[in-house]
Amino acid sequence: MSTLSRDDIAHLGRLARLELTQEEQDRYASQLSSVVSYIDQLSEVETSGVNASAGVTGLETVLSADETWKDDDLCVVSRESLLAGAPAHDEQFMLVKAVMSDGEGGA
Amino acid sequence: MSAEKPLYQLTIEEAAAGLAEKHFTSFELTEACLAHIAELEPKVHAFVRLEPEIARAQAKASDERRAAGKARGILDGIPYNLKDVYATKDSVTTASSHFLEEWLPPYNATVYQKLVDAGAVLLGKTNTDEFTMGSSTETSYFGVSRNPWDLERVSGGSSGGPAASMAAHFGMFSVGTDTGGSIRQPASYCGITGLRPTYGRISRFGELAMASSLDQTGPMTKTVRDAAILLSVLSGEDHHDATSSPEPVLDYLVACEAPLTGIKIGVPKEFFGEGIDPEVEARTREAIAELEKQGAIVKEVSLPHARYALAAYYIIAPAEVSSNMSRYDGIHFGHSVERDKTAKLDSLYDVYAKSRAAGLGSEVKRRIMLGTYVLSSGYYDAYYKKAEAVRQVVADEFAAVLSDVDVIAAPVGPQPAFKIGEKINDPLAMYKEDILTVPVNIAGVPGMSVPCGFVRDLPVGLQLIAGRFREDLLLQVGAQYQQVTKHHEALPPLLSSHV
Repeated sequence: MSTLSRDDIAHLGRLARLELTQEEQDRYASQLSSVVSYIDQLSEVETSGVNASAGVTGLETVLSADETWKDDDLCVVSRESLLAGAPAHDEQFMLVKAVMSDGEGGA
Repeated sequence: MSAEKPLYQLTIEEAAAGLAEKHFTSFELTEACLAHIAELEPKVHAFVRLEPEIARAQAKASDERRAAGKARGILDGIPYNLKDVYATKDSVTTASSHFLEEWLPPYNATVYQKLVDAGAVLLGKTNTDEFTMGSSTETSYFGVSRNPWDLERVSGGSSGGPAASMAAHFGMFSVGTDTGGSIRQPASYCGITGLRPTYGRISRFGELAMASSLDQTGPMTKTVRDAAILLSVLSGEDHHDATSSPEPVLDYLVACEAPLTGIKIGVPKEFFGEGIDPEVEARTREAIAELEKQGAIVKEVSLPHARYALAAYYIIAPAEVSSNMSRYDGIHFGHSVERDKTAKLDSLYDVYAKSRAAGLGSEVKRRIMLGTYVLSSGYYDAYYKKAEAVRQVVADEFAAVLSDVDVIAAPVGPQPAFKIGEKINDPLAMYKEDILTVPVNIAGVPGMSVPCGFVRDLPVGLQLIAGRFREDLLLQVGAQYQQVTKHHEALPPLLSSHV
């Protein structure tokens, strides 16, 4: 469980949408293996009765008020300024290559 | 002595007094900072980018307000710098990444907006490890920030730029972020004060996310009292961040005035001994003895599971990184191979994979893959769920100890600042830099580094830890300590030889 092969890294790279060179695959295989064997020490901790949650805020479900933002709200951003950051867009939308095509696009 | 102190060396409190008494204007103060930065920044490299035009405009506006009797409060007209991880409408925000090298955010982070509203003067953006992933700023696309105490050494990380900037007196204060130690470790290495508040104390809206359940903004300052001032301004509930806390914000400067008589300080035995430089341990114990002399009651405590916090952290943090970094996709903003019209792109997959490959650095890629691995089918229970359970064990253990003592005192790191290049090729050794700071993040409690002396001429910090939302106790102990010690006033050779 605690050793990652070059094939494992290549697979993770595909899942994470990261193109990796052969050199990177070799390097990450050895570096991630040593990190993973370090984190394996958690099996020493008895946690069977622990009621865990994702985070330690102590907050209950937080709901926002059911009202529209004011014009000067930090979140009020123009369509133009959001589109301006995108490499490909028309006046209304960001443009992307086909998701459902023959290639490995969406899945 | 203080009468001869150059303007750029002033604390927030001193500068605010000088402005209020009309000894100088914000514009003069800002010019003094910019001139000093121009002289020493080439040696230190604390900044990713200077913003002299924004600084001068904000300083002039502040002077006009003051002249009209409309000064806004203690930070009005005070020059500062911001770790380059906050969205700022007028200034490119990079997170020290090639991916965002030219990104102009379309909105302001809550932290920046609060500083704008307070009238503070932005000098520029300071350096960080790429997307805050690192302990030395060596993963910054723009190069390492050098330690003003020894230019061959790192300033720490990820908030190494802010820490170096305070040691070099590049402005009156700085603002950093701490996900696993990123405020406290560089504060220790650079001999400044760094406070990581309770998770949720300061809004994360517009702070570029690394690990959302652990990230927290905090003050990086020349004194504990300045940290108290800044915390009062930055804290508070924000409807843009559902994890920001509705706990009331205190006037933390008031807390700084209380004497230490009867304060209970716990010293966790697991934070000393093997792996800790004996000189670091000596400075830490001297500082604790000083607190005892001021009336604190010191007792040994035990945090047996704190040692597992680092392993839990290197599951939880990369898991959240792999998710947060998916927004850097080559489609919405930032680096994209689609901007290169000659690039051969067969599919949407190519746009993602090639944009990310070219735009992100190796530490970021390493953590994305580690996170992808621990979250992948078949491993999720063994890693992520286990790490969340261990997080709860560590948090419960801290809560139990902190119901018995007011504050925990310990070293910040195992040793003082290391040499540039010493650890960058061994990720696990770099990760272990966080061994004494990460437990605080995992437990969700506040922690602070206060300068407590020198080891082989390099500064080290005393780490103080309190219960959730008890920043007042950290600031009280730290401020009282600085009343009777001078470590925080020491100038690095770079400046003392220069004055």
